Amino acid sequence: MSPILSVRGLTVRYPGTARPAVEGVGFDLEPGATVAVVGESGSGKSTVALAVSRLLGPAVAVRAETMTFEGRDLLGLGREELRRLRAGRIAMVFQSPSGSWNPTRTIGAQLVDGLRAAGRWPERRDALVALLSRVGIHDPESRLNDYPHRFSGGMLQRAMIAGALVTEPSLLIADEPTSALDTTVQAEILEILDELRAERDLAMILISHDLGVVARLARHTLVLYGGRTVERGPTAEIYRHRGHPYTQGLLAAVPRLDGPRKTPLPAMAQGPVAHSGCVFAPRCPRAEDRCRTSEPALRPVGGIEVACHLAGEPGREPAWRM
Amino acid sequence: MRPPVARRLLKPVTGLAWILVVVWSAVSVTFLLSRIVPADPARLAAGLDAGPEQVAQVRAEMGLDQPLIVQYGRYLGDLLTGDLGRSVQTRQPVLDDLLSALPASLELILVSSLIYAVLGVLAGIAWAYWPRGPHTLLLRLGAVVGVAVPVFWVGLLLQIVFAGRLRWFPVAGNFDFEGTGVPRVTGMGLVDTALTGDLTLVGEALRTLALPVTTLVVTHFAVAMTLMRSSLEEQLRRPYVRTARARGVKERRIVFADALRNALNPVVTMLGLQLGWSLGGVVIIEVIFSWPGLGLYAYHAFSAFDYNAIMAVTLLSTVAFVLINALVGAIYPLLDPRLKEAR
Ligand SMILES: Nc1ncnc2c1ncn2[C@@H]1O[C@H](COP(=O)(O)OP(=O)(O)O)[C@@H](O)[C@H]1O
Ligand SMILES: [Mg+2]
Repeated sequence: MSPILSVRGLTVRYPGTARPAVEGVGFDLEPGATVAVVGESGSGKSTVALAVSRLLGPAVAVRAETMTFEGRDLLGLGREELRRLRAGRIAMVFQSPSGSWNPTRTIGAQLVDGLRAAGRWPERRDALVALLSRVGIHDPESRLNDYPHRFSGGMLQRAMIAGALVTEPSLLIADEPTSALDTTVQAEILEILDELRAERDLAMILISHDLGVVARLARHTLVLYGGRTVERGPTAEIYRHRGHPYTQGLLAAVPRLDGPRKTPLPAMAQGPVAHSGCVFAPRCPRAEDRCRTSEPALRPVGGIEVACHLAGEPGREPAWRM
Repeated sequence: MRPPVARRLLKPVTGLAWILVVVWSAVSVTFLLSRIVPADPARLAAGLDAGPEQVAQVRAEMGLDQPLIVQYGRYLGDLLTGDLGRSVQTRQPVLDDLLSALPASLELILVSSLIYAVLGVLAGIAWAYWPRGPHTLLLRLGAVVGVAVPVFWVGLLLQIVFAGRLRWFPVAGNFDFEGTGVPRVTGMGLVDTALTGDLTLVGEALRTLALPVTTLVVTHFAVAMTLMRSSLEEQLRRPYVRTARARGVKERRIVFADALRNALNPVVTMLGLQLGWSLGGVVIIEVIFSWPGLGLYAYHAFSAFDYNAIMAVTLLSTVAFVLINALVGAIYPLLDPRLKEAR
């Protein structure tokens, strides 16, 4: 099967910043598949999402060797073509439930705007109501007339998902769709999202700072640090190998429900980024001289790809086993 | 989510009480200030060649020989019955003076406010919507001129060029009711000439308005324009705009259906405040153009230390300010559904 989305060497630089926020990121997404993009805050996840949907303004420099969606070069499309694409084929769900809605217009008005843009109004009206009810909004007909402040964060995010899927897109980009919500609501919404995705054979980019959240939903995972891909491969393998010290740290930070945490949490605050050598070297507990001088490329290590000099070397078992 | 019934019913009452408190404070401060200034109103009222006995007599007539608290009580009492005293200059009741000067000021303020509000808002929207292009140079120039160049300078320049040299418009004065025989109904030239149905008279009224209104528009429109622009730009950076773009909504619709309404909020506040200040701010323009409104009246009152007139003008502009503020507050809920519900 040919991928629905193919990205190679994506590099994004915001105006007035010294180094690219995202550099050399690439992945393929099969129709109906899910790829997870994980990394701590500031690692460039949202930038990847916005670059793919071409929502970064004209001042932001976006380059890529390849960035094709359904066979079309995303970087070569004009304004109107992009608008049509976003109206019909690529849908998004953003992180902040309240910020993502206009406070002075009703939920219904804003969702209808999307359907109108896609040329699917009023044809998909009933479908919208059905979807709202499906994602867990009671009495959707009347809730359409409500303003966003009458909805809880979880409800806003459910409505956002319904609005994203009602135009029948083929790609959904969900940028931390549940990070701002309570854990129980989080699980519920992810469940619904994955169900709907599976029914529609929808491809999804699921962004999260929490590897635990995506582990169940995404077959493939991309781990970002400082805008670089540090690890890439099947999610299960990444879980098993923990090839990159950063991924090990991320995994060690996942709260466990079964028993006490065996590893102390490594410092996971916004980390420094090296200007030469491995981006993670300044924070890496195992960094050697070569890590600080030469930048490791992504290379296959036992079923996954890891950008680490030390990965897969005999006698260098991952430091943190849980 | 709605507030309890009692609170909803009380809200207008507390609002009114608040207005009364502010007005009362303004009255009291004006009263106090007028008694503190080192000038003797009785001496001024009695005339320069009045002897000490005459001054004392006038002082007694004006009640200025009474203790301060008694004067204050009498002042408040008179105020409540609409008695603002007599003007020393015109020898008329101050209230009559005010009522006959008010329409001319209102005409000037309303016409210019309407024009600069509409122009400023439109120009601000255009600037935010088309942020690049040769037109921005013009808008930038307009903004700089409006903010940096003083009112009197613009007024004088317009007078020199368009009245003095080109003779397109009269140098000063408002519509000539007496000379044309147009009956004073509202006292506003534009309205009263329109009532006669004679278009040449309306044109005449417009000609008298042209220069002072242009001066006010040039000096006020920049603030509305820059605020409208920055407010709209700020809204267009909000995440909800990105959501709308992600849904493929057309840019024009995003600006006019989504962002504009939110962006208008601070602009309405500012225009309201400006309108509130305008009764006080219209002095310079009325003096430059000899426009017989409250500003000119106030100017004469201040120069002659016309005691009652000063108190009355100060009071009137304060009350206008407070009332317009309350009015602006009443407009908010129309712009924001969250406030509509809280009402
Ligand atoms: N508009 C912007 N201008 C400048 N830098 C930005 C902008 N948006 C994001 N960045 C920077 O790009 C990097 C990646 O940000 P982002 O993609 O939002 O990360 P994440 O979504 O993983 O938290 C961060 O260092 C951030 O500071
Ligand atoms: Mg993000």
